[in-house]
Amino acid sequence: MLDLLPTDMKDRELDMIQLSVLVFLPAAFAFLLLVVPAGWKSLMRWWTVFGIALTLTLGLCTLVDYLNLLGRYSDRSERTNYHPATRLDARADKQIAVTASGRGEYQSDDLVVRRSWVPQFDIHFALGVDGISLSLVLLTGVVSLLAVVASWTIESNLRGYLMLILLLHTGVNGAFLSTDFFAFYVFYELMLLPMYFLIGLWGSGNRKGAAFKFVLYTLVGSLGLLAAVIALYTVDARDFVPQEEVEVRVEKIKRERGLKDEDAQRVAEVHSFDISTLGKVGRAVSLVLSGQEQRIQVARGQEAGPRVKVEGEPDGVELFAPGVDREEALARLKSQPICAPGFQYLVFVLLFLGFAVKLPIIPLHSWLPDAHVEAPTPVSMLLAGVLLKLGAAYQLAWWVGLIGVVGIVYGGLAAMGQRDLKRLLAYSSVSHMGFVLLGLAAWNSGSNAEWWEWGVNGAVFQMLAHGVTSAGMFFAVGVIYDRAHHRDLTRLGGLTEPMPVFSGLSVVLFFASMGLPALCGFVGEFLVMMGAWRFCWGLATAAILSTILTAAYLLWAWQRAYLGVNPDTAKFPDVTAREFVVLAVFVLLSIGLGVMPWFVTAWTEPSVFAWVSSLAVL
Amino acid sequence: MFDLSAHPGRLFLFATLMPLVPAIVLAVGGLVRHLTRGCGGWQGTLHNLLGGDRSLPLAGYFTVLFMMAAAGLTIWGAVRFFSDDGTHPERWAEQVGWIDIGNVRLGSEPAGPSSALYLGYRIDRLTVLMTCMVTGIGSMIFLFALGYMKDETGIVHGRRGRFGRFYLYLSLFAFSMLNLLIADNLFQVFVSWELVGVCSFFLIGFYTEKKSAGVAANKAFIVNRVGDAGFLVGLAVAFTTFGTLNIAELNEQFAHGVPHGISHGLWVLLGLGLFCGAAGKSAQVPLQTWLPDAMEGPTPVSALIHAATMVAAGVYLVGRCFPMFAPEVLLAIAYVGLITLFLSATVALVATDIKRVLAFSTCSQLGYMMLAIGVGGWSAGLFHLLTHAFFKALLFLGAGSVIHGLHHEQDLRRMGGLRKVMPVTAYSMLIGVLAISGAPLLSGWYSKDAILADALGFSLANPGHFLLFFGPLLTAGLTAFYMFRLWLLAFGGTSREPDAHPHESPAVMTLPLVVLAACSVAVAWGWPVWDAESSALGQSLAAVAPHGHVTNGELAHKLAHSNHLAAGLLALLAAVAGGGYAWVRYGQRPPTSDQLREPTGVFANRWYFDALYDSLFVRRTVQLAEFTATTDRTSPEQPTKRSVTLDGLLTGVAKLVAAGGAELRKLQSGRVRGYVLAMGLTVLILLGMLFAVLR
Repeated sequence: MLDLLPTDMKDRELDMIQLSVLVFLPAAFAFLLLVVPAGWKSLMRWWTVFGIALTLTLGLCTLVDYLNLLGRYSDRSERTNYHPATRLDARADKQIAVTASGRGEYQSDDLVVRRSWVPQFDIHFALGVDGISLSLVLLTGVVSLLAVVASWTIESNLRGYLMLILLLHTGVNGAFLSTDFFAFYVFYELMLLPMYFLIGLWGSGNRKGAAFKFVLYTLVGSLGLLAAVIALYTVDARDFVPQEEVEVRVEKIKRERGLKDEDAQRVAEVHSFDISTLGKVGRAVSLVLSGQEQRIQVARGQEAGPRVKVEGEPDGVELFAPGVDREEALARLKSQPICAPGFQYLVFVLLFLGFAVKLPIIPLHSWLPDAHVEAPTPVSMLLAGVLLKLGAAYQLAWWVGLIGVVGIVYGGLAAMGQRDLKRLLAYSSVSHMGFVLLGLAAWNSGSNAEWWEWGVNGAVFQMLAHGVTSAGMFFAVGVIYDRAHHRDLTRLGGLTEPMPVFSGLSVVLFFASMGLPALCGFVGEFLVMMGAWRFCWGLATAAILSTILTAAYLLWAWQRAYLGVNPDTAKFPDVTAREFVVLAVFVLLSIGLGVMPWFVTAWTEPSVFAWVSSLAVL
Repeated sequence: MFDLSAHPGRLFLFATLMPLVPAIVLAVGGLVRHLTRGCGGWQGTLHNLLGGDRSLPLAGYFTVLFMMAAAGLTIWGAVRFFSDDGTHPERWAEQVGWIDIGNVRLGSEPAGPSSALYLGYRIDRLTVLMTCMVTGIGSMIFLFALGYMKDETGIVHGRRGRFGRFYLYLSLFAFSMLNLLIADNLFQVFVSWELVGVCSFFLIGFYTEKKSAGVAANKAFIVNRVGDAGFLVGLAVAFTTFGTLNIAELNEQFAHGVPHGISHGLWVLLGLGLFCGAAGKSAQVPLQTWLPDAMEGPTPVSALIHAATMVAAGVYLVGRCFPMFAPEVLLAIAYVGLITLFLSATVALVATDIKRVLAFSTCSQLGYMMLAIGVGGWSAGLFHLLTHAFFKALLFLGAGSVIHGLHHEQDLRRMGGLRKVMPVTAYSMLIGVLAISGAPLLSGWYSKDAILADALGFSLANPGHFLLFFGPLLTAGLTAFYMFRLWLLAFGGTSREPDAHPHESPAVMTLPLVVLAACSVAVAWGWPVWDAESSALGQSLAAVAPHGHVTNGELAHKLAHSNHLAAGLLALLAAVAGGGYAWVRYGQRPPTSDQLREPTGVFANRWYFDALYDSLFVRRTVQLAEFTATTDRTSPEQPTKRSVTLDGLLTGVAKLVAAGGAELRKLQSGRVRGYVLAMGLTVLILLGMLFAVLR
């Protein structure tokens, strides 16, 4: 692709443009909506559809680029997409070295960008693509597109509605792609505002209360997040970043304070919001805390090739940057407060709070049934990644898994007790997200690490599958609500008779959500169950048994809403063309993901593998 | 793709995919037909091309055609298989990756034990026989349904397209069932397992206007899910221990005693898990309650799914995984089979709905098969599975013909004398009754004798387990009794309902009856015909019987062989006694409808299993769900009386803050006096503190 461009373009950083556009294109479309005259509603809708479709297309182009990136290192004989240099961490480190030294040109096609944003606080505008974030970005694109089509009938204050949807899209994409903690936080908060107004202005029933609740819960979560981010920022990460960065600092200190070289070397500190750097710090701290500090090694750069294992010696973990003196660095690390267990737990709890609200986890799920999330708020994988990269999670993995299982069962039971169909779906989301948590928490190290990989793969897939099925089912409920003007399961029923197409499409979504094989819900659940079995068979058994509960509440809801004969619903018209298109896309995605999961795992799995293998060595 | 000389097993793959074609075509066609209704132009033409709103059985013809093609392919495949010299078993198996998880590693990181899930097929003798049976019986039943479901071609209960939907579900079922049979790994078996379950769900609940149908469908699916949860546990144990789900590889691991890396407890858990799945599908105690209710579906469905094929899948799975079961598990399987065959037979004694009698009899016969496999009679159990499929399909189709002829009357007490108006149905059903009772020279005789011989051998080798022989023996008598009772009540005597105007069914329905009756007679024959051990089908299976971990298995096998005749004679005696008693009760002097009262007691209430489950699990779960929902929050449509909810607690924190703010706000009253007072007090306190510190 690069060769097609004139030569002077080669010096520009193309992926900087590409990724920024991927994030900000919806926002740009939102602002351009302002110039559309108020009466031209059709234009506004098509304009929004066009903007999101364009973003989605760009996401697909990025997918092609990413697959190229994976293939670039592939050796034909090994047929591998797993080269270490393609990992997000490795690419981010390379960018850090380039930005710090100011030497060398920006690498133009590694799908990582990093520019200084607030230099006083080491905040960077940093975006990066890996398989996991990319699949979530694509999911967001598809669901947003369908959400706009689904809300075609909205008339009141249309411009504002569409603008907010577009801004939300920007926030979500930014949060998924950020590799800088602070940038992530900014995008994370950017998601909050549009959601608040969307629920509060266009919601139904007690919408103001719901919006207020949503904001309060989410703010509490994000405050925990912010506090944790700041706590992590206080850590001196100078031995974990490329040493060019340290040299720049030393020069600056010498120049500004007039210190001698060795003094400057001594006082120089590097603080970072970079997620991969903080991840390395976390892993090093975890090794120190578990008494395995001798395993922390200095990296030898990518040219050196894979490390040869020496019999009898424990596996080394290359965490310090190349060129660092190991003993000095270790001493420096151990003298920092982050090596105190209390500090670790504090950071963990704060991060977990931010994570738990958004996931949502019992008992912090309370905003979800109220907010009736229509737009997808899938778990931010980045956050989960950082969360578990912190050492403390190692000790707490079992508890996190337990919380996941409790969520599965509790959500299922609460869903069964609902009479409002939409609220039932909201609780079933709580239940499904429990699988994500269980899969992530199914920590296994050593030779069992592969089972953890099964769990994490399952978690990623479950997020995608849940995004598809829950969005589809919420839309199906919307279709019913448009006709019946209520969602009370005790008064519904008999929909198969007047609405055969609608029933046929929704039954696929129901069964996909239930985890029927050959539909998307099954893949994630199955992978998580297999992964969790080695982690703790008790938790796995509980998760397996919960499938009975899931079947029970969904089938019961199906029976009450669709089956039987009901004179009240007998005259409902079947789906319109617009509704049909939206549902059909969700149905096709459910079937496609369920029958051909390899289509997605082919590009998410290398990233999951990188993630798991960097943690499983601890 | 079509390289059949290198991969003749693909014939079975194509046969499996064959029913998927009508499933997809019917789904898309029905959708397009519905969307183009009322349109003009080319869309209207398309609508008319797809059948329009005319009541045509197009979908049925189309599906029957493909099902027969599948049957043809399997027969072709069977011919190829049996003429194969067996030197290249790899020609009959293939696999492809479905999901890869880290099976590619770099450098020093070795590939782990588990890296991928595969899909694949493996054709062996059991698969060949089973697929021939499923496609053959399937074709017959699809044909039968053309007549039985004819009423559904029009607009029934305001719904169009029910006929096409029926065949859509049936063909999807056929695909899933065949996929289950050719699968070479447990994962694929599980996938098909759930798919046949969901097809069964749709077909049981086919009459959506009937509430009981919806309830029965839910019950069937959820009870099956309980079994499937056990299946998943078994899968998890097998996969995490051995890193593979390939059935042949797993069986190989267990071929010589307990393999390394698995404790005895886990081994038992593996077996129990798999058997739990099988018990759910095959309606064994304690998961048997769904099968009688499943009779809410159309009768061809009961014949195909809930008698001949799907419910047999549990037995098939147990047969497939036979070497994987620990001795304790095999014993448990035998006893579960024993309990099921006896309990279900007793319930069938008093049941009055013609389809329910057959359903309980299916449970009971499946119990026979489980018992056979549990006592080490692998070939006997699967042999009975095959023969039973033919005569049970025949019986159900006969019942369907009766119901059709009587305009949807299912109560035996309102029938009688039908042999005069429906002779083909009556006498083909009589063959089925004779076959299931174990009348000599009919297919059921060979397989039931084999089971009783194996049971006798096992009880002789393990004298503590004598019930495993006497239970089935007694039940053989009960079987003959209730089957003859059914036939005599329906076809014997004179009509109890003079207003009914029964008629013989059309040829499209009687032809399958005749074909199945012929199969029920002859499918197990061998030479010499009068020797119960010479059945060609039985010997074909016995030749490939795998080795299992049966307690005293060798001895039991020998004793079974030497006592075959004794077991057979005893069984015949029991059957004659049961049938004779039925003749005395219902044949000599046919009872009038006054004498046939509503049955009561423990048998009529199915041993109170349903009541027990309802009060023990269903109501408790619903109560717990209500409790959870109301504890979680109060909502407008479900106002809770509980004072503390989880949501309320968290909102309480917010309220506390708000209340605190409201209180604090009062301090800022705007009155200068108050401010001065506060300022003065503050200064005083600060001075006091200063003073205290300084001193």
